[in-house]
Amino acid sequence: MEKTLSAIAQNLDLMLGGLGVTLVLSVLIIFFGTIIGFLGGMGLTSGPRWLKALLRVYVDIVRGTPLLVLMFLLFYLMPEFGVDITGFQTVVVALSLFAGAHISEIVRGALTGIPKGQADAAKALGLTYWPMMREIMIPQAMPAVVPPWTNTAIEMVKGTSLAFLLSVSDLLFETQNVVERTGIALPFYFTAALIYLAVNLLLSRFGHWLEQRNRYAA
Amino acid sequence: MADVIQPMVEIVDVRKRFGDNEVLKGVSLTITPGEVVSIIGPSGSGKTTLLRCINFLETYDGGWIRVNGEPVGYREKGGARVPLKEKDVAKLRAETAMVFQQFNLFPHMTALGNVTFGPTHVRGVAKDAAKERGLELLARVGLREKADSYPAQLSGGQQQRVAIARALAMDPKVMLFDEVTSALDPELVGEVLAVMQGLADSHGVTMIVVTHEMHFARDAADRLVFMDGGVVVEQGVPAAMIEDPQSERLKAFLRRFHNA
Repeated sequence: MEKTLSAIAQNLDLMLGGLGVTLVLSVLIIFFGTIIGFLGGMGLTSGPRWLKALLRVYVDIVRGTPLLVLMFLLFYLMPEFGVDITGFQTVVVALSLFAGAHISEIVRGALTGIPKGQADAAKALGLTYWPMMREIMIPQAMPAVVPPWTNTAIEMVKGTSLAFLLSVSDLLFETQNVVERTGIALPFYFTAALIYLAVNLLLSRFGHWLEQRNRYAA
Repeated sequence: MADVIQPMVEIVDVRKRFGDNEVLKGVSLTITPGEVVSIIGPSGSGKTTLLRCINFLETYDGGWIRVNGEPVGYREKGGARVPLKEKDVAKLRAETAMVFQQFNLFPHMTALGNVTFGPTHVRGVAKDAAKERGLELLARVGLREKADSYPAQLSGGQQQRVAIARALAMDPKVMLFDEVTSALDPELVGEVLAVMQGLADSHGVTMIVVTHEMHFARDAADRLVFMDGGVVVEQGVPAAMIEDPQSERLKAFLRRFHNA
């Protein structure tokens, strides 16, 4: 037991270094995924027909493909087009696209749920599209967006663990290294699990806070 | 030189179809500044569609609508109609205001927030000035004390009065009312009509009122327009028209109305 604890203590900084990478990946993926998702959701609701069709293809393909397959496809496909892509970049792009597709559907659903009269009222006041979205539609969509968005964000944090398959030194990759070096498996995986859990509990709290903030008397 | 009053709203041979269904079959109507016009007619007569064409919430396929001399939705270029840019349409809409059957207040804003939103976000009025004016307008519709309430905390009649205040806050040249009492419980209709009657009496703003409220049409409006089947069938002085309808269609409509 003592030996195990001291092994963990000795290797914790390595694992925390991995956590740093995991956190950076997560933040980037959730950031880009959210931007893609909001633009995609708006396009799916009120874009011209060609844009809707294009987004529909994107969402359906990405949602219907396993994340890992998407990641490997990107990793091996990009060099074919002469684009050098690192493992880290692949993970960010693949997971952002994946999150973006899911959030697009979330945002589309939320926007569709807003009564048509709201857009009429906004337009009648003389609002153009973007201010109408920013001030009237998105705020009303938020209560319906936030809970599934939090869900997707948590899935993405967990999804970053796939990065270790492309030798990105994230939390799981570093854990794996330590396990191989020390020959102790269970305590390290257990520690890694606790760290992932802690991050996601924080994220879940953040989602809860967002929910409270976006609530209005209805 | 004789003073020629420029019409506030000019509707010339306007046509509109939804798929195979032609809902406006050449409607013409001229409304002078400050005039209060009520439009009545059976459902499906095209009256709401016509109203929504005036602020271009609906596009129209033929004819012209001008508000204060400005063409609505299109400009003419070499004899063809070219759609206006979004921001020009928006600018035009800001000169009119609409009150809706379902109120359509913004649920995430307080009553005061709803009233000040247009002035601050579209007109660029300073927040303090907009707030002061907003409170005045809420007082005018009898809801000064509800300034901080959210729409969900107000009755239908109160919501509709806030919606009228929101419309007034834009200092519109024309106010469009789309069956604004139809969604209200009968006991709440009076409070909304009273506000509209007050507005009509002041003659400060041109009002076009699509309504089923025959009393309002008769007592508050300067002119009554009866539409049926996508055309204006009859128009004139409200009381005279209701008491002595000329067309068979208006007679039939009024009969059904009285029997209802």
